[in-house]
Amino acid sequence: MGNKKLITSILTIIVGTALLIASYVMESYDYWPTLGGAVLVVGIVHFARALKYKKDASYRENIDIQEKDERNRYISMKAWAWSGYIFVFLSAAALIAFKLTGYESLSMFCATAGGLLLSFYVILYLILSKKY
Amino acid sequence: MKNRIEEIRKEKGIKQEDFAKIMGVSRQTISSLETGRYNPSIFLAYKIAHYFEMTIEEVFIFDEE
Repeated sequence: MGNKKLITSILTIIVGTALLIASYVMESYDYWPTLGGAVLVVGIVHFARALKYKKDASYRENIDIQEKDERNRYISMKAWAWSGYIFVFLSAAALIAFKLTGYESLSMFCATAGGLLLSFYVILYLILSKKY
Repeated sequence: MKNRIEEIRKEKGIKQEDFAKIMGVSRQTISSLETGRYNPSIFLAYKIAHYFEMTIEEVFIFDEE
């Protein structure tokens, strides 16, 4: 697991650096350097963590417990579920607000986002209900 | 669900942190179990009862509410 984390972080650093170099080569100084910089920073942070995970036994044990801990997983699932509910309600509210204020394209975007999420929920529910 | 984890753990003189390590869970999980904020999976309930050399019913008190 340590090696996987290390490889992923190195790949992230490479992608971030490539984006930064590409943005300067193509003289695009708005979106891409920001994205590249952000990806590079995330990669460096993950690399430092992965290195510590590989070298520090007590840190590794602690991380392993935190990742496998059933309460943490339960909390994570709850948080995702609540995020889904909130997203659907917010997108529905935004859909109505944008429709009433005449922002048709934004209203359509909210409808699509909310609809996609609900579609995913229904499909995943059917798949998971067959599995369990 | 109520349980006797804290009572039995203290009787056996085990620290919360050490008990968490033995069970392979975080200390916060043990704390949440003891205060009744979190109900364990059947797997963890069995592991805890087995460690205390008791049955699940002796450690966990079933409460319909």
